[in-house]
Amino acid sequence: MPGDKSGIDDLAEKIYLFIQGKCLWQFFPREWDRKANIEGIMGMAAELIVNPKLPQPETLVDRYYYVEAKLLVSDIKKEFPQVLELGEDEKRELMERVKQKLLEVMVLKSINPELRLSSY
Amino acid sequence: MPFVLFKCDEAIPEREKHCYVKAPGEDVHEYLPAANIATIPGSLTERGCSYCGAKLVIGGAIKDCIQMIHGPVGCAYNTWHTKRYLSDNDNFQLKHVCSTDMKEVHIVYGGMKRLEKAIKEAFEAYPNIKRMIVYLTCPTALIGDDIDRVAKKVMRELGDVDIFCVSCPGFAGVSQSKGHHEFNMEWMRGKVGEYEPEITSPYTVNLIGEYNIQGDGFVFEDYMRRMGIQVIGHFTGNGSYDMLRGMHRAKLNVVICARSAGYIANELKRRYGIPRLDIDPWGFEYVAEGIRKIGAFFGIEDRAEKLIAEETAKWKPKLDWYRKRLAGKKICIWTGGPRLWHWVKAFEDELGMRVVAMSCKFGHPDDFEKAISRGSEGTIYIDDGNELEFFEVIEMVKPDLIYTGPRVGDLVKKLHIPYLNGHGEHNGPYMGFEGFVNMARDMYNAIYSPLWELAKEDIRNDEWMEELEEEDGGEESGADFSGMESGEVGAEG
Repeated sequence: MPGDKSGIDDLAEKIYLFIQGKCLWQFFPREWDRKANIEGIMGMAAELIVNPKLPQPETLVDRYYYVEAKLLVSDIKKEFPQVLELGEDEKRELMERVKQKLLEVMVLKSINPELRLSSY
Repeated sequence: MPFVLFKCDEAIPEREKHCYVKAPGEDVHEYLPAANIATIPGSLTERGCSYCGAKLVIGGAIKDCIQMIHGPVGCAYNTWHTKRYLSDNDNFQLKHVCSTDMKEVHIVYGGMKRLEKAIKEAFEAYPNIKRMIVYLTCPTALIGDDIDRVAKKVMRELGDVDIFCVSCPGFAGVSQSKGHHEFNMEWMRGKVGEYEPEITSPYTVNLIGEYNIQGDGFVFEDYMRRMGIQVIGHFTGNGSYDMLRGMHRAKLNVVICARSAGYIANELKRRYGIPRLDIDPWGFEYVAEGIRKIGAFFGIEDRAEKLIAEETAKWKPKLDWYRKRLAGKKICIWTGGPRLWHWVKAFEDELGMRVVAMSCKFGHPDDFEKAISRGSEGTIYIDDGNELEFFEVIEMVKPDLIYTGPRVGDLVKKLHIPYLNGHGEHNGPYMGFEGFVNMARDMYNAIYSPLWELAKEDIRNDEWMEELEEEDGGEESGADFSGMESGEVGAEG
């Protein structure tokens, strides 16, 4: 598995599907908050998956991303234990791919007509 | 063929884009039912109106203010006493409602003086209540009554009262969702930031989109209390008018109904930097996850784990008993919007049930993104479903139980299919660990009740019935079954 690109692709797809069926933060109603959540939480998750002792951030919004990321990483390790066998760079790459897939499906290619309304 | 045109909709083919069946491998960026658009003429919608969304869903649950409906008396009655959202002040908001009782003469000459008189009378009638919500309805909006002007005049004159006005005529928007939106945005614009609440804990939250239906909110407030967390604004179940004006002082917004109250959570994030944490409060796993997140946010994970352990130990054996009896049962969820995606995985993963059809009345596209992402392949997803579609779906999926509202519920009961109230709840609370057991118990009782089979039997020509008739003296009892063939009767049933 380590060093195997197709293996990482396959795992990224599985994690993406897991997130799709579970996490509410990817479905926020507008493009701006959906994108902010996906980038904020997946960015924090990429850090936490290689450094579980990452200190809690100071600002309330960053702390929220941290909490969602912490629970997500815990779920990923439980549901997909093969992640634990990956090296640091591979873990970061894996999380980046999941993030890009989420941005693609939930933002870029979204057919939700309300996503890009400027107001609520 | 992801979208489906039901046979009953052949004359209104526009309905096809609202009805979807999930196929293997499909994603929400490929197919999404049309939602939050105007109902097509010819489709007998179950939707409510904007006023219903503002009053019945949100404003009506606030416990310490007078509810003043500026419109015909029917608007007041139809949103009064119909939803059991409890409060800890003897349910003032469930017992009292005021109306300006607009008649033709007031429509012709204007209703503002009548509203002013009604507001003053109401404050006199309830001298201990100093807060009020005034709702604009269809006729008073059409004649251009300026309720804000009247409210400001009365506030100046009386000095010690505060009035919130919400413009929610029934014709605005496509469903009750417009009323949710109006209430959220108007409250944010006009009231949040006006009041400084007393802070009693370093850990503060707003509970947003939780209406204390049958005590759901009491369960959640208890969890917060046990973790040492102060709930500032409970928007709006058991909510206090003034504390809701102090929502800007919380550190975290915990959002439950994202459909009816996501707007205010987003605005609090934008204006005050308070993050929005959406949680699912139904189902053991979801509830535990929500509590863990809240605990982790404040760095009090130990308190969260203690609470989860205590509640799980107390309630899990009961849930397991019901799970054995509910596994494999087919269920439909035909409710307002969010309960589709809140409930589907909890029912399927934790109770082993199979959700075969979901429909929402006022959902938006993001509600369907969530429902389809969490729902199973082969499940039917419908936006703004109509009566005939429901009958057709029942024939297709043959459910063991349907969670829906009283309107569709009465139709379902006539087909002798177990129905549970998915809006007002049957025997709640349904939230939390205890609540999910209540929910499982209600489902078990509904599915296994012998009444559904007994109700199918026509007993009117049974021998014992004839004997009873003779004993009672026939006509004196008022019952006359002569000439009634079972076939004729059955057709009516």
